[in-house]
Amino acid sequence: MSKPKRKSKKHKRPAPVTRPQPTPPSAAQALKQQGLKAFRAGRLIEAIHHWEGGIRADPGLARALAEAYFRRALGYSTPPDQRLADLRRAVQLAADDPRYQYHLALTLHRRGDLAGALKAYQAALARDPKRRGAAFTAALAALESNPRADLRDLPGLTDQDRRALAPLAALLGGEPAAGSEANRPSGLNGLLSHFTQSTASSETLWQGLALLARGEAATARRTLVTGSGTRLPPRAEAVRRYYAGVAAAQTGDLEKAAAEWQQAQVAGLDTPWLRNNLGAIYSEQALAQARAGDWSAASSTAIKALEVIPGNATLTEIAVTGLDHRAHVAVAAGDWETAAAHWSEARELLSAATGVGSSRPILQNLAIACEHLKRWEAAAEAWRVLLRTRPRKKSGDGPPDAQWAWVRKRVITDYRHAGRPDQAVAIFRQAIKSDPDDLDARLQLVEALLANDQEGAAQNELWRILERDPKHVEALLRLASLHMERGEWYAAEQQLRKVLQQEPQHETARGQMARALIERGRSHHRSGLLANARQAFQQALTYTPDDYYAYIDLGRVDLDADRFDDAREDFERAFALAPDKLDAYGQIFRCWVIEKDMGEARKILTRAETNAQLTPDFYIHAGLDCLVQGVAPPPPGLFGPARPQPKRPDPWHDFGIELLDRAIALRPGDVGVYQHIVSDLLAPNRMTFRPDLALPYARRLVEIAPDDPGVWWTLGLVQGLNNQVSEAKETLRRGAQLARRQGNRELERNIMETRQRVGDPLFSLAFTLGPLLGAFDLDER
Amino acid sequence: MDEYYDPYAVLGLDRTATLDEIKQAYFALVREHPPERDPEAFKHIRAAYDRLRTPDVRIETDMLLLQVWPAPTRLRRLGSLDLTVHREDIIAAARAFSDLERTDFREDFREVTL
Repeated sequence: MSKPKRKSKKHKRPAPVTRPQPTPPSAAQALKQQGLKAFRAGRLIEAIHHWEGGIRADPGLARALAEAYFRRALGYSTPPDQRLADLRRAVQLAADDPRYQYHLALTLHRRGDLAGALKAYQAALARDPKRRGAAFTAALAALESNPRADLRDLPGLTDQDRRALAPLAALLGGEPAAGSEANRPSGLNGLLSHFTQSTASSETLWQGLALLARGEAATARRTLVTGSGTRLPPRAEAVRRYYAGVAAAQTGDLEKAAAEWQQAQVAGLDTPWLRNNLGAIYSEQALAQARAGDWSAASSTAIKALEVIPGNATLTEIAVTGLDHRAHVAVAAGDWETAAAHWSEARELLSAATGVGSSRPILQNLAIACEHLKRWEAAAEAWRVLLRTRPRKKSGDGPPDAQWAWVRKRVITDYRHAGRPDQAVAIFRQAIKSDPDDLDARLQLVEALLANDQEGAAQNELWRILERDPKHVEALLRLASLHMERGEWYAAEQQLRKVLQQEPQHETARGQMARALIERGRSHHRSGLLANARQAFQQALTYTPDDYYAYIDLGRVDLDADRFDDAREDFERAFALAPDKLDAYGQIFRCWVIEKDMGEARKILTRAETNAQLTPDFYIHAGLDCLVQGVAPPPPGLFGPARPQPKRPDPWHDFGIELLDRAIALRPGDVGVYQHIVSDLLAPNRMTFRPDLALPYARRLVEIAPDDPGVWWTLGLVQGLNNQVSEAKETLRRGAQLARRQGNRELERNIMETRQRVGDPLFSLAFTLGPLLGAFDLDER
Repeated sequence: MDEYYDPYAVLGLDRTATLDEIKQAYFALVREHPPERDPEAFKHIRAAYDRLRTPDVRIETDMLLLQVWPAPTRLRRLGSLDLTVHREDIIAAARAFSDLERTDFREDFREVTL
């Protein structure tokens, strides 16, 4: 007989045909034949469909239809409920066929419906009392239902069978078996021999169990071990091994017990008591190792135990402690690969357990290890999981907000390293999809969107957070920052005010508010709205009273408003806050220079020299500030060199040169000082573009560093800008020669390029437009 | 030296040290290892201090430090052994000898003739 063919598609029963319409004879015949064809081809669903359609017209189809249901019920992939329904229908269609009754009984028996199973067994045995195995299985159902069941009326059960079932009934009923029967065949064995070739093994199994139940552990152990090596059905063998282990444990041999229980598990036994016993033995061993400080061994044992009792909190803690310990040892040996593997395993164990400590340390370590190994995506993932451990409500548990913000940024940075900035966006979007009210995830999405250059989407997300929680401090601060980055100072102020209404002392909000006000004040100042500017700076000072820059800004406004006394007072306050800050002296010096008050400027300079350690840079900047106030520099020569500066008294020019000389006097032989002066005097986009003033400094550069081809290049350039064409060409030739001798081919090429351009009528124009054209970058030298 | 080493250990501090304590430890170590006498040690100490001297820098440092999983303080024994004979196992073994464990019943199939 052929095995029913399995179909890959799901079994779909056609709609039940409860009240079929009468089928014409010719159609019924067609259905009958189509069903038969399908049945023979193993297409049982189709066969059932056709025959169910034709059975009203042709009741003779009942047996064929019952067989189709029966075969489908016994298919390997038939779901249990479907199997039961099919067998019931087969019995309904052919109640006198004992096969259908018997299989219905088996199905009910397997499902635990012992009463239903017994009824069906009896019906089957009533029609076929000699069916092989049916009497035993029926008797088993009866004993499962009631260990003291009267089996006398069970059809097909012989006296020999009844005797054979006696030890099983005794075991199930909790009655000790009579006498030690290890060495003589039991009645049960006679019955079991119908189903297995082995006789001794089945007998020893029941015998061993009976002895164990009676408390004779040593004898039971010997009996059950005798059963090894003989063939038992897999499930029975697993049970034998388990109870051999129980007997070993009862006699104090826990090692042997563990070995037997492991084998029972391998053989497919999976009962709560097997898991409990294996877990107890492993955990006892792991605890002993942990108490002895051998965390490495303890974790290995605990991991083995967790395979049996997954998620156990004590074992997980032992395992994770050991894995973490081993990972740290690996890191100390420089083996980050092994460390990452241990932390990864620890993370998995923690995620499967409840009631254990926080997973944060392990996640943090894993992320660090992955970064070390440049596994950026894995690192980002670990940081992201760490983020998920942030408590929803503020509590003392866990790192402070700033650390969470750092982690958020790190997730994004690592995804960027992995070349996947979009991944962070996708992940946070997914998190929001599953929980739209998770404002933390929304804030993380904001950061990810900003990192992915999606500023508009980030702003929309911030508004979505504020729709749900209009007082969300972090969202308000982030929105304010976005406004500030775009120069929308007033809009930023509005968001910051909302934060400060809730938390008046919020340090970040106060700092940002002061910055927004200062920027707004400067904007008013540039537009000539002096009163508004003054008000903005004064407001800024209410948030950051120690901000000396705000006082300097205020002083500038007061100078422009001719409120000189107020300005002096503002500057004094700035000095009081920053008595030794060079930049404060520099800014205030510039204010008086712009005001063209040389007396006040000199006073500030003297004060700076007294109170602070002045640098060449300070003098250079101050000198250039003065030069800007001098006679207007000549316009860059569009079609030729700069015009010579007319000779006339100019105190600001003289003061500027005096300050540049003081810069040099601080470090007389320092090439850097001269280079700074020359490059500032040649800066094309500044008011101080003065190649004529740069010339003596460039000459001095060559005297100090004659072996540096770069300084020859500088001098040649300055000479060229001063229309000293032949000198420039000679200087540049020497510079190129030096560069060649030193093996710097690129520099030689650049110098020669400049040499070719010197003398060109457009040379000065090309230089001043240099930064735009990408040429003459002074920093290149 | 990479960003993952422990600057607290260099300064001989606990990870919960305050900014003042960090500063004090730094100056004490600098007095012990002045740059002119012990430039390498000073460089090491200075690098450690630079990674802890401001709250912002310290956050990054703290987050890039390996943590130690706290060893469980209370190791509880798991449940005791269950050495009883379970009825379910007896039934399971008995069922193993019966048709209940079988899956192939093709000999029960019958041909259909119509």
